[in-house]
Amino acid sequence: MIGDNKRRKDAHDKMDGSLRYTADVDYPGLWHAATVRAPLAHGRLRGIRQGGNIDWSKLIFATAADIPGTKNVRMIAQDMPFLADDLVRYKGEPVAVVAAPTRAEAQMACRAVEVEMEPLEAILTLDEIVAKHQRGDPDLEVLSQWSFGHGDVEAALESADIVVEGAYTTPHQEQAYLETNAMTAIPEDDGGVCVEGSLQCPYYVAPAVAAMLDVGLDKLHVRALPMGGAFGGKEDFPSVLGGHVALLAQKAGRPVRIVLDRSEDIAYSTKRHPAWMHIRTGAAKDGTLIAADIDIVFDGGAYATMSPVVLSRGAIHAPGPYRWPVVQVRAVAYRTHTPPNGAFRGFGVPQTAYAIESHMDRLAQVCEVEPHTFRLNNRLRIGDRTGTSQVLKDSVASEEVLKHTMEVTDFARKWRKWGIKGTDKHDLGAPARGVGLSFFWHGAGFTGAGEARIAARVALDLVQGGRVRIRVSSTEMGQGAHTVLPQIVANALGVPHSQVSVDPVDTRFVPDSGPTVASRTTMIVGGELEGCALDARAWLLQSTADKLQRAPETLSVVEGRLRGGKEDLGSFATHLQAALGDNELKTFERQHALAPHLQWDEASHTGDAYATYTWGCCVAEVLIHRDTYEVEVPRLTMVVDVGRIINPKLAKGQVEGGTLQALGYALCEEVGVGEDGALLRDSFQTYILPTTLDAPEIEVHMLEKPYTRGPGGAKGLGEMPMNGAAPALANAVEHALGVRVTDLPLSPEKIFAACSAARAGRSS
Amino acid sequence: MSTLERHWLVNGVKQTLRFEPLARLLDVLREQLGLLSVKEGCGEGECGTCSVLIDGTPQLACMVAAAQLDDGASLLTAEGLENDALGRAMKQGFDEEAAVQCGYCTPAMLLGGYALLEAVPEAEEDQIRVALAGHICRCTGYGAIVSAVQRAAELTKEGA
Repeated sequence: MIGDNKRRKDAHDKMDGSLRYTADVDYPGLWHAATVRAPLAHGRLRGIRQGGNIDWSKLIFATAADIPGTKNVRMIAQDMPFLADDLVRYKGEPVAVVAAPTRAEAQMACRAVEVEMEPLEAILTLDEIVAKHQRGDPDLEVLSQWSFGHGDVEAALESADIVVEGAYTTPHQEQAYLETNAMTAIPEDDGGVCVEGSLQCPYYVAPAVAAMLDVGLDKLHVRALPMGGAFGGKEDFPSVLGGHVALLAQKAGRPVRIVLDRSEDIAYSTKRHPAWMHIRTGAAKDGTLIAADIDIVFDGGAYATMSPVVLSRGAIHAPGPYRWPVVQVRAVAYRTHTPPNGAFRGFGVPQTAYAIESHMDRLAQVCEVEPHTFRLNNRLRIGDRTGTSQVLKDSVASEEVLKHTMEVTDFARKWRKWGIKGTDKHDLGAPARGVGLSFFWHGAGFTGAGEARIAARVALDLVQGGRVRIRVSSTEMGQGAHTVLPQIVANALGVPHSQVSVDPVDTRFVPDSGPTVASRTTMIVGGELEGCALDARAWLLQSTADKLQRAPETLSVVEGRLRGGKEDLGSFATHLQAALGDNELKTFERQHALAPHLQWDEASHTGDAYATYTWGCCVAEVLIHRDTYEVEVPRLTMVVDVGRIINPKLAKGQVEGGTLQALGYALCEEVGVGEDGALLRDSFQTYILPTTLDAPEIEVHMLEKPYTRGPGGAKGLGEMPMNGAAPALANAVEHALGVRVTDLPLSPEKIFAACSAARAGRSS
Repeated sequence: MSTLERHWLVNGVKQTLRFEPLARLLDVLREQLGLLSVKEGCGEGECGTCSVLIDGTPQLACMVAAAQLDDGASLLTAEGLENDALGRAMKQGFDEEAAVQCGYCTPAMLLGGYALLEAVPEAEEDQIRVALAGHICRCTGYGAIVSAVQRAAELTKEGA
């Protein structure tokens, strides 16, 4: 069962349109909401006037003054208001919300609201904050900062034969889930409110909205509906929209829904943090690493929201999967007056992985060691110490991943033949050909003591008739959790996959298994469910053994039937009925606790940052057209270790999809910030996503280095595929043309400029 | 404004629709016929998520005014795929190849593949990629979707 390509449980309902996403659910008397937004990026609100030719008595209008409870959204940091009250910190920040019988009426009413502001000076871009950061300008507002490491980095760099320094920048990236953000609030007969929608983390939304309404959690429950993609973009933002519709629904006494249109969704919801990374490294002549000093600046946007944890994960992974005898990392997120940046698959790591992997190629070049050999020689091994002083104890697949990559891609031969310095003859009419490598890792589950704080709870019900029902708050956003979790349970229990299902995710009925983020669902939630299933199996076998007067260890459950050795003793359902007696069901519960050997000090960022890591290697092959500087990508190869694979086809889908998102990040996706603080490319006409014709052949190889505490040996999966392609492509472009572009995306304009500068440099 | 009336064949069933002159086909199909497989992804003709087949040709339901369709027009949405062998093969291919992830692009992708295989039963990979180039999928990386259409072609050939 584990390792089988079980079909998705939701595939047929998705294919014939019968699966209901948030905007598909009808409620009698449903009204629609729209948002009044601030016209300036920074300033004080001086007035909100309901103007125009609108009969406001027939609509519902709400501002911050109408919020009965907590005015700020409860998140990692609780600094963002549901509705701006006094200070506005980004252009488009919500200042009021309107509900009307139709969406068009709500939008028309919003346009009739005049918002008066007194402007303040705004800081808008990464470039501005980096310049101020380098000057030590006290104007900058720190949203979060971490520093950690070990050893005297200046002394170590002084002693190094070779020192290489570089700076790398990355832009905003939009999650671009196809279903835009959508939330509905439904007043209930008992005076409570149900908030449902497209959301990853029901137990983030519930307390945030309850606190805003000033009601207890007995009066507010949250339903997570199936999602049309999320990728982190529906981690924190649904709490904001949930608050808006709950406020309106309570005032209106009827259900209210908001569905963002695409341009609103791109312009005002969270993005990947733009980042600047400055790296100084030292190595011995033979290419042995000596020290790394890494300075990281993230553009946090207007509020801290998720920045502390995104920055932390990015910083922890910044030194890459390498053994550094000495390493120091300083990371800071500053406020800008643009929409808050937040969670996006990879959670800070795609930025720092792009930086360190670009840098490692440069360092290898100066050391005159081939890039693959350089990485193999310096890779982290069991017993090595990471930047946070975590000593790696098990499930380190660094060597296997690198060696397997070399085998399946024939990297070394291609690297020697292709490229500007390669042995192949260069036909100036033909595209420049290059190959690039990246090597990366990803901590599975929450950082540090995060999993201990969450203490995920799961429940498993064995129900009369033989059904097995999983109750968790882990949501289905397309990643396949509601197919894979039943696979883990079915495997441990000994019943067919079809007999196990995941209950609808409603905080009234499911325990808090934590948010659906951080590559934690299979490993952490699945691990606890596997425990429940084993408990359930033991209980059923004991009960049956008692009735049959046999020893329980002589019995087993195989494919939904009880067996005593080879003897068939009847169906699981029959014996379950006997064991349950008059009870409708029996529930098994478990709660996650961190392994006792894991130690973490948050303030100093020292210790076991993650229970385990996944490992990956990406090889990109590029053809760069000499007239247009367009980067064509015939093939990307991903070799990954994510522990034991539960469902190979679904796992491969995660790797392929994440890799294409990373290709978009590397080559074409860029939002841009206008002079007035507006995000510029706020539509699919201008924000360019890869299509079938841009997508390369993505070859995926999965190695399985089991993690003893994961279900069946599984580790995390979802985020890591996002880390590899951008640096591999940057390295391939450098290999092909001999120029390095140090800021993403690798647009034809930037590559052309770099080539022109190199030519000018050669001729002067 | 006056209401228009049209008579179409939708998923093989005769339907009479009444709508405002500027109504989008997307809204008419969703709101009047409850065809919720037709999804809005961007509302500006860029993502392909809302596409349906009009007289066998993929069209973007967010960009087409319902009034543009004459009486007698024949429409196919994903709800109607179960009605014939190619539609069922397409779904089986998507299921087997794990081409469905979040599912939001899926109904339109199925229709795009269906229209292609109806015209070119043994479509090659590059033809499939061109035919589906107007459909954004953010989950899969497209490889599984291309394989799914190829699988549907095989199934149809076997069944023929």
